[in-house]
Amino acid sequence: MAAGRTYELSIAGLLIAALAVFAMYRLAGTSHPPSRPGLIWRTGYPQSADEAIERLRKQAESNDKIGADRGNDWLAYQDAATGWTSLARLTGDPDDYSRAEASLARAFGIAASGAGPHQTLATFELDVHRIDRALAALDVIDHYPVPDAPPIQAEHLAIRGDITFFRGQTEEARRLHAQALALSAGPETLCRIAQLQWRTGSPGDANASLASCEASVRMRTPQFVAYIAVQRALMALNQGNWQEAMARFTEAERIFPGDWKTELRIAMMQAAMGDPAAATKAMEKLASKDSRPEVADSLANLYRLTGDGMRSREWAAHAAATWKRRVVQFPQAYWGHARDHELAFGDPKAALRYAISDARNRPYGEPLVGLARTWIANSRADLALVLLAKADRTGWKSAEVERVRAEALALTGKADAAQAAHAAALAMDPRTYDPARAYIWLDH
Amino acid sequence: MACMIASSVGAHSTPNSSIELDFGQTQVKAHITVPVSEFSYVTGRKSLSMEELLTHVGASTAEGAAWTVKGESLRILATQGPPELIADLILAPPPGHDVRHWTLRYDLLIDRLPNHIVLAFVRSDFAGGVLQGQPQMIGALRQGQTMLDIDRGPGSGWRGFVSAVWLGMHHIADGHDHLLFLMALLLPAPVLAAERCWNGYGGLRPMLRKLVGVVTAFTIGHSITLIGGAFFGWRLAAQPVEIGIAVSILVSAIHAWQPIFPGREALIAGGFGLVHGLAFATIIGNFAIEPVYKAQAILGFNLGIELVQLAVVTAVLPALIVLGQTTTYPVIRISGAAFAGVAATAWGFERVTGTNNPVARAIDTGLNYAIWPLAVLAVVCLLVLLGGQSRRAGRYSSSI
Repeated sequence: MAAGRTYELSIAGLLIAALAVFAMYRLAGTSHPPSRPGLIWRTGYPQSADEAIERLRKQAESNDKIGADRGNDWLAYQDAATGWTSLARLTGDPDDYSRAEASLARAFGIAASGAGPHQTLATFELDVHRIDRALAALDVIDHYPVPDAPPIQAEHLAIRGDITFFRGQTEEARRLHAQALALSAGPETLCRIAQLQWRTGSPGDANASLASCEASVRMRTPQFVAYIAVQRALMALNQGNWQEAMARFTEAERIFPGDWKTELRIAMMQAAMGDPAAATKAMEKLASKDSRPEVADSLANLYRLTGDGMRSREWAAHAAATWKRRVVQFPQAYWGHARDHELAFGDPKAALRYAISDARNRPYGEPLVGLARTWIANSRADLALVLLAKADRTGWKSAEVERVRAEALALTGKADAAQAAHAAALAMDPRTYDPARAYIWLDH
Repeated sequence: MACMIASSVGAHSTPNSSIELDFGQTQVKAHITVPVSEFSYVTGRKSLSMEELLTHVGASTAEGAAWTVKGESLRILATQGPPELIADLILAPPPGHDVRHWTLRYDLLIDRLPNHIVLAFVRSDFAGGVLQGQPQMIGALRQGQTMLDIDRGPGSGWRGFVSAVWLGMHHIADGHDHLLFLMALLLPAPVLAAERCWNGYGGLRPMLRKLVGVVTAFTIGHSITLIGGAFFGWRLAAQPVEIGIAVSILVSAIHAWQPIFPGREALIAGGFGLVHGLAFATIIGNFAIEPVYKAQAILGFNLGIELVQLAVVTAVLPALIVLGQTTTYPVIRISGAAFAGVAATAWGFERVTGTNNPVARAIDTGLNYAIWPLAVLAVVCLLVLLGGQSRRAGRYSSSI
């Protein structure tokens, strides 16, 4: 064969092979679109969690002061309440929620009858999981004589969708979110849709919705980009892709440093990926800054897994005291956390009380599965199965559901069904039974 | 930005224990895994003795006659996760009782930890058709529920054999690297080598000789190490074996591009077959705990592998005959070689570094669908061959 001909054939062969690999790459890549951080708009926005916290606190305090100085301006108190609520999301401190509640009370105290910051109230009540009160606030908005602008109406619909979701009516939630999206394609609604898709077993669609959410914002703040990265990390984590999860958490930390929850998650991933010593150091550092019970529980879990029972109990006791205080302060918001704490470190009967209250308040997937786990610890695997069936009816899907179902079925002597659930859990998250998974205390 | 559904924060469960059972003809092996963390949390100690463990484990017949329970080994293992206590026990029924119907008693940790669960699996039960690699959950134990009735039903060697055949078939069908190696070696089969180049079609007989040589040598190669692994414990760590397999594909791909060992394809197939066999051996290492069942399992597993190999060769044969005679075959051969080379490099990189790479993931995903274009190609080429034959038969009958 002539040399020129061989050369041409080789080029043709290489091109065909490259085409085949590219086609396969596209085929494999459809479920995991790459992250598109794009341009991050930094000017004028907080560059770190500390800066955001500082700014929000100053703004909220200033708005409270303006409200007090003016005497009859509930709008200032509304802004203060919004600020305190946003701050609470960053700090995880219920005292910030208390401050938001106080600002709201002042606003309603001076507002005319039928007027006042009802949307801010609905958002606040939803944040602290007081579902009925959130709904009542939205009902008042529905009776406003002058309808709000479409983006605000869309936000009302989206909050209503969240409430419906928490009540276990997933299809109705989906409808409300779609309605909100039709009114105004804001990033909040797209993000909510992504969450719902993820929780109901469509991570591919959820990733696509997150990408749309990202694309819908032209001026992406560091906090927003970090938030998207964390959502992608959590999805990857729950599909057993730890490397991607770690990369996304690290990306979030790089873009918007200092968020305690991201730092905690990175530390947990470090432990799971083989470096518990580094994780301990990072968590101890976090714990030294604030007395967050999530950090204390994570440390208790880490020390327990590394064989230091004494320190584990110390941190667990510290977390227990804080959860108890928080449950008194905002019961609905903390029943689920207190349940998990009691299940791991305390009394299954106490866990049951919290789990029942939480599942009654928000009868959707997560609290139902939590209650199922708690019933197993209280020797009622049969009741766990009933709750898991209820979670199924809400459309909730996760490896955890199948793992808990496998345990409950195995305990009730239904070995074949247990095996099927076990296989289903592994199909959703191949690392769900990995012993190192135990290091990841917060997994969604 | 508010996104309420995302704000929930859930916690994972604490680690559980497990008991995996291997059923033989006269005894059952129990492979027990206990998280050291949980043991240490309730006892303050990081290990326990075999004697102490044995006080927490028991077995009895349906009539209540006690089985003998002997400790075989007890060690602490820490791979990537938290350390685990791993114990291997041998449980044997009293004379006159079978191993398929009995009651397991176990209460380590669950007597002290209310939220601890012990998951029980059958890891292997050759007579029941369960082979290692597909453990089946059979029950669970927890506080207040420390006995598990085990009923494996009637067993037979035939069931185990059939399962082993299926496992062999699945393993090679899912193991793209083994098949890609074979395909890369078959690519130059229709052509002749001359002056370090592949030339034109060499004829049907030489091609068939090459095909039979390659497939037979590969079978002999992997069978040797498979049997060695199962019976004599020949082992190599998974990583070098997997890297060796990637190298074997790369070498075959280069040879398919330009001849580097013309006429010695069978030798190479046999040599690399030894490496591929070591990978198969990791699957069947603990297939069965007694030699008779083990031999049947290996035979079945190997037969499964051969059946799939035979099916693949049968499927590509018409394509090799038809396309091998066309002027476009060099493009097909070089495309195939280049694709195999890229796949080998991507897999090799992944196996050396221990990290996923998107190209390897893409190729794995794509190869899951490879059966469809291959099947279409096989049918088309078969039709071409049959059409050609009937035309030749027509010409022959009209000439007489």
